[in-house]
This record gives sequence, C-alpha cells and structure tokens, in this order.
Amino acid sequence: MCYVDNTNIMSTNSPFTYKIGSNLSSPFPGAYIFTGTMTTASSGMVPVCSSMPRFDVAGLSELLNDKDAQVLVLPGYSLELYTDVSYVTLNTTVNNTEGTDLLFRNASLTASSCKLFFKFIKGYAEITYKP
Amino acid sequence: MVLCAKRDMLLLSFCNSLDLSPIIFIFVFGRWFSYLFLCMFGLTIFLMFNHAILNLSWFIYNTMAFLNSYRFHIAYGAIMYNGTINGTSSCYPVFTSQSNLAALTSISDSGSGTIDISDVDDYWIVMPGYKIVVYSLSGYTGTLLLTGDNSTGASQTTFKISSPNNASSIQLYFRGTLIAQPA
Repeated sequence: MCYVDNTNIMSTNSPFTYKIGSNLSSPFPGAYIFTGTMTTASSGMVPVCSSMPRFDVAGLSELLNDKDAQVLVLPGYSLELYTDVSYVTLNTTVNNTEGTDLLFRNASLTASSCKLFFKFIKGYAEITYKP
Repeated sequence: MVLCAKRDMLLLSFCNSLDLSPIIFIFVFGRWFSYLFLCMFGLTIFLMFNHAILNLSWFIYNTMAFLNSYRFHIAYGAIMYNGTINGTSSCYPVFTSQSNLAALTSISDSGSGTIDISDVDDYWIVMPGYKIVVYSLSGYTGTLLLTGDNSTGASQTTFKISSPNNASSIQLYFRGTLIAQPA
C-alpha cells in the first residue's frame, strides 16, 4: 500500500522498484480495492502496493476499513483479505499469480488487513515494508 | 589456450627480432583482445538479464513489464470515471484494451464469473503517452464515442465524453501502439 507510517522502506523482494535516495520504492500497485461497485458511482479506488497489517489506523480507517466491495488484482499478484487486523482470520483470496489478465472479485466489506504477494522468477513472496 | 599463448609469445619475439611495426603486435594479440571483449560483452548481457528477471526495473521506464511471460502494463494508461470527478464517483483503471466491459473476468466462491462496468462512463483521464478509443458496442464496434488522444502529451488529460454511459468496449494505445487485451 502506498500509505505508510514512518517506515517508508520497501522490502527487497518488491517488484518494479526504483531508488529514491537510499530507499527502495515500489510505486506500482499490484491490486486495487474498490469501496463500492463501479455501477454505484460512489466507489473509492485504493491502490495496494504491499501488505497492510491494519486498516483501522487514522487516515485509512475511514477510507478502507470494512469497505472492500470489490478487488482488482494484476497478473502475477495474489491478494489475501483478512477480517481482523494483523492478518488474522483469512476471508478472501484472489490469486492471479498464474493469470495473464486482470482479475476481479466481489469482496465482503469486512477486511481489516491484507497481504500482497508476487510471483517472482525466484519464487513466490509477500511484498512488505521493512519494519 | 596455453599453447596458443606460447605460440603468440614466440610470434611476438620473432616480430620484435625483425623490428616489425606495432601493427604486427595488434595482429598477433588481436584475438586475445577479441576474447576479452566477448567476455566483457557476455558479462554485461548476463548482468542486464539477471537484473531484469530479479528486479524488472529496466522495464518501468516505459511502464512495461513481463508478467507470466506476457507483456503487461504495470501502470494504468487511463481511468474511467462514473459520475463527476470532483463529486460522487467511482473509477476504474484501464491497463489494456477491453473488448467487452460488460463481462470482465472475475472469480467468486462458486468459480469463475464476470463483472459488468459497461454504460457507466462519464469522464476519462488519459495518462501521457496513451490514447483511448471508446466504442458503444462490444468488440470495438458500434459508434465511436470518444478518441482521447494524449500520445504526445506531457501530463494527464481529462476528457468528458459527449454521450456518457454508453461505453461497451475500449481500445488503449501507448505511443501509437495498441495494447491488446490478453488472450
């Protein structure tokens, strides 16, 4: 996720990176969370660049917590939505690691954390920020 | 290799004894310079390829990347807005052409399915280098509703479609080249 607290250093397993100063940045989202359906004209689009342990932090809670109506996952990526923070209680998995096109899925408006994975040549790995 | 080196040294000694020009030296040792050049060239190619498959940063300069052996745009080229941009709206990022907006690939607990986002378009934002063509029917047919060309633009451009809520298929171009929908 492009939103971070004070830990803006990406993990070294992040794809499509470039350096900003000494920090490794990954500006390309692997998935998007929509807070409503396209047809309702009231949906927000939240890019997901990495795993996010908490949707309930200030600034993000109003935008995303329990507001996952639809998700869109790019090919090569996999997104896991969890009902509770800190990746507790897996609710939805949208696995597009073997796909070649975009993949939609209707979600359940219950997500409070998510994990993002990418299928690297050298293996399948979670995209996280360094603590 | 050792025999060749010894032979070249003998040749060089012979050339020196005859006080021949440095051209002979280059002629004798040109092969070794070729070997060195080929090694360095091969090493460069290896490092480039290695860097590419591990990091892929080489491709982000034109927003292209290989995903599952398919050349897929990792960044969207346009955004479709349903509603007004500065008001209540929803939006959809466009990465490739889409032949049928009424049946985008989706999954569910019961298996595969589709999601319909046709006939909801009001505004389009097209990123620099991209062009979008909007059609009223699927399969890039029917009325041509909009050609939003920002191929040579330096910043993103917003297009308000004159006949909103009619889009059924879209073609996306990057610097004049069609970005086809993956098969």
